[in-house]
Amino acid sequence: MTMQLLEILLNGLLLGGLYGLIGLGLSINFGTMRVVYLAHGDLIVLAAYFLVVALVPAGVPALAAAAIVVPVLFGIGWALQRFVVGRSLGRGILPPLIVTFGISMVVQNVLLLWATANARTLQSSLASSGVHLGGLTVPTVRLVDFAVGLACLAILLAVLGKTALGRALRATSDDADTARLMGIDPRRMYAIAAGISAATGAVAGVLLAATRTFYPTTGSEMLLVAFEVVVVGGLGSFTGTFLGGILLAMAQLIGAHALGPSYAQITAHAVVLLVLVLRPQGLLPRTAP
Amino acid sequence: MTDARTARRIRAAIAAALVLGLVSCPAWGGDSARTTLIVFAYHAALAQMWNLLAGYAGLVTFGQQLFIGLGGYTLAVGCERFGLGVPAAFALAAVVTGGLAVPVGALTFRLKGGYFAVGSWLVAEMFRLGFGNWGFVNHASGMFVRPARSVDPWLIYYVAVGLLLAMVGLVIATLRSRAGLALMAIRDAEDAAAGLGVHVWRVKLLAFVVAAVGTGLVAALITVQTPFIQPDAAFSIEWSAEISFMAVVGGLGTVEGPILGAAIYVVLQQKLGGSGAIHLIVLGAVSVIVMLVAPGGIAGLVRDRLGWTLVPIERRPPVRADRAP
Amino acid sequence: MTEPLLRVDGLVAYYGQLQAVRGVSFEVGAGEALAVIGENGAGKTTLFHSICGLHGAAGGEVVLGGTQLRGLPAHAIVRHGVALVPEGRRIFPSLSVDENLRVAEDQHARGRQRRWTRQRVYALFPDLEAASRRGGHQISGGQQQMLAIGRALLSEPRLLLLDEVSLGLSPAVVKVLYQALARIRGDGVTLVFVEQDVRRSLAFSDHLVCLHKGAVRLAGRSAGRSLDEVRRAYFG
Repeated sequence: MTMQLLEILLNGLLLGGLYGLIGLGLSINFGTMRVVYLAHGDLIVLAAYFLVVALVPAGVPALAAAAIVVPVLFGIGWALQRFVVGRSLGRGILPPLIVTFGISMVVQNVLLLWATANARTLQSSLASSGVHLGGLTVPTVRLVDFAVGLACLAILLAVLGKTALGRALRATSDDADTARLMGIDPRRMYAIAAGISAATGAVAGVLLAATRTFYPTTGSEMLLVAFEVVVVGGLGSFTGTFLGGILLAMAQLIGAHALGPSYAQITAHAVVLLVLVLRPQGLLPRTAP
Repeated sequence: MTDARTARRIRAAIAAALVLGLVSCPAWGGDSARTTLIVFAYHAALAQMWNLLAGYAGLVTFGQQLFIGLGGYTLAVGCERFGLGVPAAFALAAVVTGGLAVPVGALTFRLKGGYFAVGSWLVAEMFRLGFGNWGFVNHASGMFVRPARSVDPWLIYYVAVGLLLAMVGLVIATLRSRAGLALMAIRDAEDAAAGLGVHVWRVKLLAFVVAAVGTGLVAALITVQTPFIQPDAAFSIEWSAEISFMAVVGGLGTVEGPILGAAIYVVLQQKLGGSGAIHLIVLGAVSVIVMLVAPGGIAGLVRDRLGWTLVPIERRPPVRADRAP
Repeated sequence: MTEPLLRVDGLVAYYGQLQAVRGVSFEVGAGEALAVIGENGAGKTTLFHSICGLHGAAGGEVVLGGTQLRGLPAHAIVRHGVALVPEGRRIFPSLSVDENLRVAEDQHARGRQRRWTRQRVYALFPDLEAASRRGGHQISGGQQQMLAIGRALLSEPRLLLLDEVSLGLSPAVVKVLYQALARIRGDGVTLVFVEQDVRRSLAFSDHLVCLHKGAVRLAGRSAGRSLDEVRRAYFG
C-alpha cells in the first residue's frame, strides 16, 4: 500500500515536469504582455502532430525531428505575435482573448481536417521501457519528461536572469513605455517572448507525443492544464508554475487510482478549484522569480 | 447625419417590422422558415446574454456552456427522472442555473481578466466530465426527453421569439437604468467605479446570474426542441466559439450587434452545413479578422460610417456644433 | 549663428481631447542648459514625451542636429541621442539597481566607443554603487533619481531631458544631483530640465522657456532675469 502510494507520488512528480513545462509557456506570455494566450495548448498539440504525422513518417529520426519542431514552433509563435496577436494589444482584455481563442479554433480544426480525429502517439522504446528505482518502477518516458521539463525551466531562468535579452524582457514586462526610453522595442520583445513560449510548447508537444496518445482536441485539455498549473503555482512565478505542475500531476494520478481512470482530470480540476477557494494567490508568493 | 427625430422614426419602423415579421411567421412561413427562425432566435438570445457580460460588464467568459448544459440537463432530468411536466421543468431550469451561478461567480470572480475567461471554462469542463461519469443521467451516452416530443413546434417557436424579445428588452432596460451605468463604469474602469461607491462585485454577480438564467432558459428550450442531451455536446466549448463569434461580428457592447451576428451565423450555418471542422475554422478565422480590422463589428462600422445606432444606450452629452474637433 | 542641437518648431500635441501643447517653439544650443518652467498642467510632461516619442505629436517639428525626429518611435529616437529622465523616475522594480543600468547599456553597447559606462555612473553617484545589488524598488527616492539619471546616461545621450529633477527630495540630495548635472553638462551633454524651484532653474540654466496652458509665455536668457517676471509668466 505504502509502496503503491509512493509509486503514484513519484510518477506524479515526474509527470509534473511535463505539466510544469506546459504551464511555463502560458506564464511567459502572460508575464511579458499580460495576455492569457488561449491558443497555447493548440500550439503544443500542433508540435506533436508535426512530429508524429509529418516528420517521423518521412523517415526523420525522432530526436532530429524534435530538433526541427522546436525552432519551427518558435517561428510560428513569433509570426503569430508579430502579425496577428500583437495587433490586438492595447485595447483592453477582450481583443487578445478573442484573437487567441480564434487561433485555437482554427489550429484545432485544421489539425482535425489534416490528420483526422484518430488517436496518435510517438512509437518509441521510451514509452514501453521502465526504470527500477529502489523497488519502484517508473516508465522511462516520465523520467525524460521530468528531466527535460526541469532543464527547460533552468535554461529559461538563466536566460531571464543573466542575459541582456532576459533583462530587456523583464524591463518590458515591468514598464513597456520606460523600456522604449531605453531603446527597447516592446513589440519585438513580445514577439520573442511568444516565440520562446511556443518553443517551450514544442518541447512539451514532443514529450506529450512520447508520453501518451493525443487528438486534435487535446489542445483544449492542454490549455486547461497550463491554466491550472499557473493558478495553483501563483501567477507570474516560474518556479511556482513548475511546482504547480507537480501538484496537478499528482492530483490526476491519485484521482485515477482512487476513483478510476475517468476521474483523473476531474480530481485535478477539483484540487484547482479548492486552491482557488483557499488560496487564490496560488501556493507561492508572487515575489519568487 | 440623420437628425434625431428621423432617426427615432427609422428605429421604430425597423423594430416594429422585425417584431411583426417574427410574430406573424405562422401566416407566411412553413416548417423550414420556422426551424431557421427558432435557431436564429435562440442563438441571438445566447449572444445577447454573452454581450451583457463581455460587452457591458467587462466579464469576458468562455464558460457559458456551463449554463447551456445545466439548463438542458435540468429540463431533461426534471421530465425524465422527476416526472415534471415540460413547463415546470422549463421553469426549474431558470432556478437551477441562476442558483448555481452564485457560487460559480463567487469562485471565478477571484480570477481577473483572461484568467476569469479560462476559469469559467474550467468549471464547465468539470461539469462535462462529471455528467459523463454520472449514472443518474446515463453517463456520456445522454438522455432522450420523451415528454418533449409532443410539444407543438409553433409553441417552441413562440417561446424562442418571446425569450429573445424579453432578453433584448431586459438588456435595454437594464442598460438605461442605474445598474447599467454601474456596469459600464465597471467595464471601463473597475477601480474608479469602486472608488465612486459602485458595489462592483455585487453588480457583476447580478449580471452573471441574469446571463446564466437567460442562457439556461434558452438551453432548456433547445433541449425541448431536440429533444436529446449529451454532456459532450451540451457542455462543449464550441458553444463559446459560436456565441463569441456572433457577439464580436455583430458588434460588442451594442444591443443590435448580437442579433445581427446571429443572423450572419444562421446564414453561414446553412451554407457550411452546420457543424464540423470547416464551420469552426470559419468562425475562428472571421472572429480574428473582425477583431483586428473592425473591432466594433458590423454595428460599429454602421455607427462610424453613418453616425447612427439602432438602439442608443450611451448617454453621451450632446455634441455642440461650436466646439472645435 | 550655428545650427542648434535641438530645434522644436510649432509643436502641437493632444492629451486626450485637450490640446496640451499649442505650437511650442524653442532652440537649444549644444552644451547648453534650458529650463522649462510652468505650473502643473502647463504641458511640460506632454512636451517632453512628444520630443522623445512616447507621445505622438499632432503637428510641428522636432529636429536634433539636422535630423527630423517627429514621427519616429521612442526606441528609435533614443538611438539618435535623446534620453529622458521621466517624472516619477520609473525604475524597473523587478530589476536590481545594477540591472537597471545594464538594461540601458545593453541596448547601446554595439560598435561605438562608449562615453558612459556603469563604472562612470557609479563614480558620479557613489551612493548607487553601495546599493547596486538591491532591487529597483528597495532604494530611496534620491537613489532612484540618481539611478534614473545614470540609466539615461548609459544610452549615450547628446540631449538629456529631465522631468522634475528634485520633486519630493531632500535639500541635501538635490544638491548632490545638481553637482552631478553640472559635471554631466561639463561633459558636453545638453540639458533640458523641469524644476519646481524657480530660483534654482534660473541659476542652473542658460536659457528658459515659460509654458502657460501649453503655449510659450516667456523665453530668453536666464541671466539677470527677475523672479517676479518669471512668476508672472508662470501664473499667467
